[in-house]
Amino acid sequence: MTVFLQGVYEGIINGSILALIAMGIALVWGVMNILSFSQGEFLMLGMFVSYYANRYLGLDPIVAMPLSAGALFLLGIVIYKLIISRALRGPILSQRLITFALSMVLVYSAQMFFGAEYKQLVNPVIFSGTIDLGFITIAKQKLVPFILALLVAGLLFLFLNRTRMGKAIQATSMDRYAAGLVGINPDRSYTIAFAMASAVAGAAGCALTYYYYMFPNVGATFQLWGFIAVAMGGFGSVTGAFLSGLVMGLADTLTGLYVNTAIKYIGVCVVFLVTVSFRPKGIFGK
Amino acid sequence: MKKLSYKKLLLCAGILVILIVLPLIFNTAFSHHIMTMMCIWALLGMGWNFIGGYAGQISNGHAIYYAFGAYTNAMLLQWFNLSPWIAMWIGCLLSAGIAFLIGKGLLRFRGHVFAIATMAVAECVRLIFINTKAIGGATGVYIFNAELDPALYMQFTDTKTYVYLYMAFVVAVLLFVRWLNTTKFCYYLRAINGNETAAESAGINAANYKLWAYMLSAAIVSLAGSLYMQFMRYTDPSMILTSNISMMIVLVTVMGGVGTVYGPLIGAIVLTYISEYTRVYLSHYNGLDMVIYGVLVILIVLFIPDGLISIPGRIRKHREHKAAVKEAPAK
Amino acid sequence: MLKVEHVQTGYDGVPVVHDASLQVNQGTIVALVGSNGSGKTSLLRAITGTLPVMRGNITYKGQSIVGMKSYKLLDMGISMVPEGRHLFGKMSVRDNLMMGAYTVRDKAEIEKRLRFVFQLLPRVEERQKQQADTLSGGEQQMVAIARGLMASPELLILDEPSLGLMPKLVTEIFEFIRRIKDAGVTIIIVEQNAMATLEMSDYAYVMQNGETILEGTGQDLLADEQVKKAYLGG
Repeated sequence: MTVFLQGVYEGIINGSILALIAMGIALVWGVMNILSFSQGEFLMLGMFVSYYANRYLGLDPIVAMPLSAGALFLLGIVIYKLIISRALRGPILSQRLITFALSMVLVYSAQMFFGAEYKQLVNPVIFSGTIDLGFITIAKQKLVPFILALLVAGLLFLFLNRTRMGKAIQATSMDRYAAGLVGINPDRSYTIAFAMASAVAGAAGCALTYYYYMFPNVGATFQLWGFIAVAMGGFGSVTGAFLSGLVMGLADTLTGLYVNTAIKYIGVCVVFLVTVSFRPKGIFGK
Repeated sequence: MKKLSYKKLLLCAGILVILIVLPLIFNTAFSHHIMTMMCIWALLGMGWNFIGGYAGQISNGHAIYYAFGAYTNAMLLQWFNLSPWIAMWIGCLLSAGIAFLIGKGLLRFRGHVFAIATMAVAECVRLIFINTKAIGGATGVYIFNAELDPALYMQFTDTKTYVYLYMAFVVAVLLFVRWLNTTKFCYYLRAINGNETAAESAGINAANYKLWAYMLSAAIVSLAGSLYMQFMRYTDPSMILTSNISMMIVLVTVMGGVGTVYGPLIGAIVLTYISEYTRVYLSHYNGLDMVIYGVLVILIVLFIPDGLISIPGRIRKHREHKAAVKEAPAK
Repeated sequence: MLKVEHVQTGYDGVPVVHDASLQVNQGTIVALVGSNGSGKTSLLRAITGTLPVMRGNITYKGQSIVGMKSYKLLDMGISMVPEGRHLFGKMSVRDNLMMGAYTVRDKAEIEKRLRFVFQLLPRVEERQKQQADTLSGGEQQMVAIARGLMASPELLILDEPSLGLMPKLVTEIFEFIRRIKDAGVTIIIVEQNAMATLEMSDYAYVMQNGETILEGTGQDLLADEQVKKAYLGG
C-alpha cells in the first residue's frame, strides 16, 4: 500500500513537470495554432540556467527560477520576432518543421556550449531532506515542481481571463482579424503568448534540476509526453493541459511500478488514441 | 507505347550519362557514401510524399517503416539466410500490412492530432524494438559477413556498385511516381487534399484512398530501409527509430517541394549534401554541424516555403507579374 | 468628413478598384451599393488600411489616413463593423463589447459607453452574459454593431450588415442604424440590399466593376432608371 501511495506522490510530481510543459504547448497551440517543438528545449535551457547559477553563483534553483523565467521570456520574444512570426505567414507544415529545426539548433548549441555530459547540481541547496509522513516520504525538493505547477496554472488562468492583455490574447486566438479591428495588436499578443510559454518552461526546468540530470537532449521525452497531454486535455485549454499533464504523470509512474517502459508507453498511447477518437478536440477542447 | 520525341530522348540520354559518370568523377568512398545516402533519402522522401504531400496527412512517424524495412532484411538473413533481394519485398509487404493497421486507427485524425498520434506510435515502436532481445534490443543488428556472395546478398565491396544500384532504384521509383501522378489515384488524392468533404460528395471514398496512400508510402519507405541496411550493414533503434529521423523524412520532402514529383529528390540531394558535409568538416566542434544544419533548414523553409523546386517557377511568375502590373494602369 | 478621391486598390498588385470617389458629410448616412464583386468591400478595406492604396487619396477631416493601422483609426474616431460579424465567439457578449473598447483604459469611460450602447440596443443588454456564438444571426449582428460603437466613433463603417438575415430582421437592424445616426454618429453603409439601404440613406454611391459610376441622394437613386433596372428588379 505504501508503495502505491509513494507512487501516487511521485506520479503527481512527475505530472507537475508534464503539466508545466503541456501548459506552454497548449498556450502556443491555442493562440497561434502552432505545434511548438521547442518547448522541451526551453525546459532544458531553464535547467542549464539553474545549473550555472548554482555552480558559479551558489544560487539555489528556486532563487534562480525568476532569473530563468526572465531569461527565457526574453529568448522567447527574440525567437518569436525573428523566426516564428515569419513562419506563421507560411504553410502549417513549414511551421512545424521550423520549430523542429529550431529545437535542433537549441539542443546542439547547448551541446556545443555546455557539453554533452550529464550534469547535476554541485552546490548545496536550501531544500534538502525529507518529511516523513509515516506512510510516505516526501522529499522537500520534489514539492517544488508541484507548487510551481499549481502556481503557474492559477496565474495563467487569472491572466488569460481577468486581465486586459490576457483577454486580448484570447480574442486574437479566436479571431485575429476582428482583434485587429478593435485595436489589439495581434502580433504583440502572439509574442507575449509565446514568450510566456517559454518562460513557464524555463521555470519548470529550474524545478527539475533538484532531482533530474541535465543534458542537452533532456527535453525530448517531456516534449512528446507534453504533446500527448495537450492533445488529450484539449488544445487551446490551458487548464485542460494542466489536469491532463498531472493525470499522465500519475498514470506513467503508477503503471511503471508494475510494468516495463515499453508496455507502459503503449498503454498511455492506447488511452490517448481512445480518448481522442471519442473527443477529437480533447477532453476540455474548444 | 508513348512516342518519345527526339528532344526527350536526348535529355534522358544526357541524364543517364551524367549519372554514370558522376561516381567515376567523384571517386572517393566518401563521395560514394554521400551519393548512396542521397538515393536512400530520395526514396524516403518520395515514399512519404504520397501520404504527406498528395494526401495531405502529415505523418511524423514514418521511421517505423524505415526500421521495418531494415530489420526485415537483417532478421531474414540471420534466421533463414534469405537473400535481401527477396527480403526487401517481404519487408515492403510487412510494412504495408502494419501501415494498414496503423492507418486504420490513426487516419481518422487530422492536422496536429494526427501528427502527435503518429509520433506517439513511432515512439511505442521504438520502445518495443529496444525491449525485444530477439531482434537485438538496444544494441541493434549487424549483418556484415565477408563470406557471403556479394551479389546475391547485396554486400558489395566496391562502393560504386551501391551508387549505381541505388540510383537505378531511385530512377525506377521516380518513373513509377511520375506514372502514378497521371493516374486517377493521385488525382483523387489531390481532390481529397484540397477539400475532403467536397471530394466525398463527389463519390470519392476518402478514407480508402488515404489508407492506400499511407500503405504505399510505408512500402516505399520500407524499401529505402532495406537498402539502408544493406549499405550500412548495421543499425540500432537509436539510429533509425528516433523522432529526428521521422522529422527528417518530412523535411526532405518539404524542402524539395511537397506534393511534387521531383521535389523529394531535390530535397534529398540538397539536404544530404548539407548534412554530410557539415558532419565531416564541422563535427569536431561538438555539435556545430547540426546547429548549422538546423539554421540552414530554418532559412530555407522560411524563405522558400514551397520548396526548392518552386524556385524556377517563382522567378518566372515574378517576371510575369511585373509585366501585368505595368499593363494594368493602361485601363 | 471623409473624402475618398480616385482611389485604386487591389490584391498583390492587381487592381480590383480602379477609380472610386466618394464623400461623406458629418451626421449623414452614406450608402455604397453595388452587386457582388463590384469592389465595395475592397474599397472599405483600402479605407481601413487592410489593402494598399495604389493611387488616389483618402482624407479624414482633412488629414490623410492612407495606410493607417486600425488602432490609429480608432483614435481618430473611425470604427468598422466587418462583413460576417467576426465576433469573439467563445466570449460573452459583454466581453465582446469590452473588447470593442480595448484602447480605452479608463474604467468609468468604458462603463459610460456600455450604458450608451445598451440604451440604443436593449436586446444586447438582455443577452450580455450569453456566449456570443450561441446567439441568433440577427442578435450577433447587433452585438457586432454594438462592439463597433464601443469605440465611441464619429464615423461608423458597416460592411454588409444585412448579409444572411431575414427581411424582418433587416428592417430591425436598419431601424437601429437610424437610431445610431440620430445619436450623432456618421455612418457609411456598404450593402448589396439596395432598396432598403437607399430608402434609409441621405446620400449614396453606386459601384460597378471597381468604379463609382453613379451618385445622388437616396431618393434620387431610388427613382433612377439605371438603378431600378440593375438593382431593384426594374
